Amino acid sequence: MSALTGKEHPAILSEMPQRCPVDGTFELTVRCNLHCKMCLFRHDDSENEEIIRRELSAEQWIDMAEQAADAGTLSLLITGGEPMLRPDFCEIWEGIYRQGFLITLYTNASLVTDRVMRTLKKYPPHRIGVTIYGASPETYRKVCGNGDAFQRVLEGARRLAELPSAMEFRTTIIRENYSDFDNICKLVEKEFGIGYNVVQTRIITQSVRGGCADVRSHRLAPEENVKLAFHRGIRRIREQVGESFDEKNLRAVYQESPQEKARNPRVSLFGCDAGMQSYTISWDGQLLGCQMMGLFSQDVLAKGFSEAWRDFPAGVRLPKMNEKCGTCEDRNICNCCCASRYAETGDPGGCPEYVCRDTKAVARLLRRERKQ
Amino acid sequence: MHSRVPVFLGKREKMNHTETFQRKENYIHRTVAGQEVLISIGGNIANFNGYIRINESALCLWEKLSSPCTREELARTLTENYGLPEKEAEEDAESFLRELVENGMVIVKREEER
Repeated sequence: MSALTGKEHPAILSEMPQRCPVDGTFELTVRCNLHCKMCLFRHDDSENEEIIRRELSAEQWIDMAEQAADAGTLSLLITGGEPMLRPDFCEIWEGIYRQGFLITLYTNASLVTDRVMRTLKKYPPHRIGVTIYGASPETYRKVCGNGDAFQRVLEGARRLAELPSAMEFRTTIIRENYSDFDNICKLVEKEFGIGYNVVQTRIITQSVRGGCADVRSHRLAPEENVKLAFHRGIRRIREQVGESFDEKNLRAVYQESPQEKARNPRVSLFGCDAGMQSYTISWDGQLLGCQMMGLFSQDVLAKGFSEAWRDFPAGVRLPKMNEKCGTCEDRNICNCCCASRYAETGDPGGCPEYVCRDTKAVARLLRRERKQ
Repeated sequence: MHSRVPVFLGKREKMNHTETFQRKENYIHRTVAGQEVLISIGGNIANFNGYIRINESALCLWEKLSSPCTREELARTLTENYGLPEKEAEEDAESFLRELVENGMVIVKREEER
């Protein structure tokens, strides 16, 4: 960090506040057996030799887990791409598990073999997130490029549901599965019961860090996305409180008012926990602030975890925020972040039009409700 | 998932002096941001899916429980390491053991089973 003093630049701290790598993500691979049209991270086919050659070995992942545990990581997410695509997934999983983390596994559930189940029964994740993108083979063909995967996903999810892990389903709605959204929720309820949550990705940015999906051509328009999220939210509230719920008398309540935020400034690198409490180790051995942004990184294989974590802030250079976002009246409800700005504009200080339109759509809804 | 700080609630009746206690391997100890935690692992997450924060003296006893030991040995650990009076050490060790037994965290054996 710069040695600038308070006298010269009163708004700059003289030292970095305490950081601790409590929440980690291990991205085992950016390969996937499915070719989802909105995937942020998938690089290429499952058999890309160049990518396979550069992926960390099982031994390296297990060593990384040991270093992360020593450094204080408590929660660890194992993700991809599709982590089970790795033939050494079971070896990696067991080696990481033994270090002792609150461990979450993200998977598309289409590659759940007997061997994987034996490993996960012995070393069950604390949480599992299963992605589900359709309620039929036809939708899976349109979204993921593989209609046969639908049945395998259901069977895989059924097997994972036998584990003592807390399991939830995760979906992303694009043009190709928009009409199937209600059916996805009904399918989960029918197959797994009402206790299983279906989490919907709120905003889909363009693919990041070399991902190959043409997200822009398939994601919903921001206004459609907001409408979908809003009506889903209302429906879920109505399920909880019944028909007496009055949609017209909605009130928007800040969890933390803008005034409170100003009184309690949050010191961070990017305005979030990235690089302060959370990090990602990428498939090729880089320590990132988060899986979404590869602009700032440290070579964790060369330096070791502790040194890479320590040095990460020194490598961060953020440009000035663009004027439009800096003075926007709706900035307090905007879902923007450095990563989404970078994904959409190529500039971590840029104004992402897609997210901006989303925020304006939300603001219109809230203002309409306030007028009523 | 949630964290849980153990509350030492002693019951009225005393435990059997001839019993030994040994921790089960369904928790892993970690130090996170200066705090000592026990993380539930394996099949135990069906009973408890989360982690427990423990203090320094609890960690001391937990480490002692890696091999079978009696209630008296645990009390002696507290006396030797923290200078607690004997009676207080016995009470603290007893209530700590009760917490562990109630939550299925230890194997209890009677002397004749040793």
